[in-house]
Amino acid sequence: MIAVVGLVVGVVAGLVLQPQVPVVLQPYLPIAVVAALDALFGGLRAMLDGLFDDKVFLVSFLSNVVVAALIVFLGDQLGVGSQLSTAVVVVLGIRIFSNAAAIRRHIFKA
Amino acid sequence: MTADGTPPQKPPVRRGPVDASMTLLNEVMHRPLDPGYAAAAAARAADGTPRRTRGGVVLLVALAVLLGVVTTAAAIDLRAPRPAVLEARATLEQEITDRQAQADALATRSGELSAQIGTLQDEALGGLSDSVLADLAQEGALTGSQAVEGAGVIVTLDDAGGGLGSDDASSASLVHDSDLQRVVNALWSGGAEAVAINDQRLTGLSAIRSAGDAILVDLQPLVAPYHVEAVGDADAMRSALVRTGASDYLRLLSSQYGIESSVAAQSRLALPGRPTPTLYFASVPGAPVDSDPDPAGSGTSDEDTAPPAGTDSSDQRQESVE
Repeated sequence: MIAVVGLVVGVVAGLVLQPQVPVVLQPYLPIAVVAALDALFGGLRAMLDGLFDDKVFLVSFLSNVVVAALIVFLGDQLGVGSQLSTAVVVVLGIRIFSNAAAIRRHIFKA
Repeated sequence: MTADGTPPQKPPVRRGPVDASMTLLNEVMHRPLDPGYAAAAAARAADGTPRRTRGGVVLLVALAVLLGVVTTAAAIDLRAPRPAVLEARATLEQEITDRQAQADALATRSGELSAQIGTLQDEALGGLSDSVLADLAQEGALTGSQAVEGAGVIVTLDDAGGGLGSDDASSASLVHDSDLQRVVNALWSGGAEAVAINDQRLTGLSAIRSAGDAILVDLQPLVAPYHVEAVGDADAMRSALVRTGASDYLRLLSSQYGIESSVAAQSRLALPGRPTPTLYFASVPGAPVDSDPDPAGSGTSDEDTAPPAGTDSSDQRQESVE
């Protein structure tokens, strides 16, 4: 739970402070945000499953964002940046959908 | 084939699952939850509630806050329009405004110079003869180089729908250059002395063309609604519109494509003049028949007034008539 509280505090701080993102990192932002969404949905589902764990949640969150950005960076260097981005978005999108379906089953029992 | 006809016994093959080659998809589809959660839960179940150190908690919270800030910053940054794009747009807008102001200033200057040329011409020719001046005025009106006032008709055409601005405007619902050409030709044939479309005076060399969906008169783009103003005998021009079939054509445009049009007589119309036309041909007035009573004076004044084409073209016309 403490991780979720920390995350909310961080989001509020980000909204208030509006920090500038360095220009170098800007190509990786969309994928990083999608990866963060994936980790969020995973955490929510784990919570409903009764399996939630602060450490796992945060580490998966961090590694998702970093790995996603890394894949895009690698793709850019190899000249297949847009294709790799598509691949990452597809995989993460499927995961988000499945997790959202599981959450829906938990909440609506349907 | 064996003798008793039974099929040969195949050795039992150990088959994997049919979708063995799709482990990646299976992994993604059927186990989207991070296995780490299950592992952590199992570990917790194995040795009771785990004790967390104070340092571990602080680290965890710090990480959570950091991730929240980073994600929010990324989302905010993605929502904001790209500054470079905005900047480029602003620069282009600025450039358009600047150039437009330049063009306007030049047009104003051109008008001033034309007026100056006109007064100089009148001054120079004032002593010469009134008939030349009268001819000039008439020729100027006919060629479109002089502003004209008088009674006439206004034919108005408007695009159906939202015009050029709206996205759903199909090409058929817009006024075409051929529509305007048809109306203008009918007006000329009805004895119009001067015609202007949206204050663009038509001369003998004017062209009504289209570029894409826009209509150009002498390379000047026009915006709907299109007002075709003609000075002359209103009744004659209206009957010419009917006689040449332009009225029927306008009615057809209205019923088929929703292009609205109207024809109205006006007691007073003011048409602007075209700036001095380009000079293609010139000759000294009265050169073939040297009957000028004041050769020295007229010679110098002709030198001064050589640029205005009105003088020379009218003289040229006179010569050819003679």
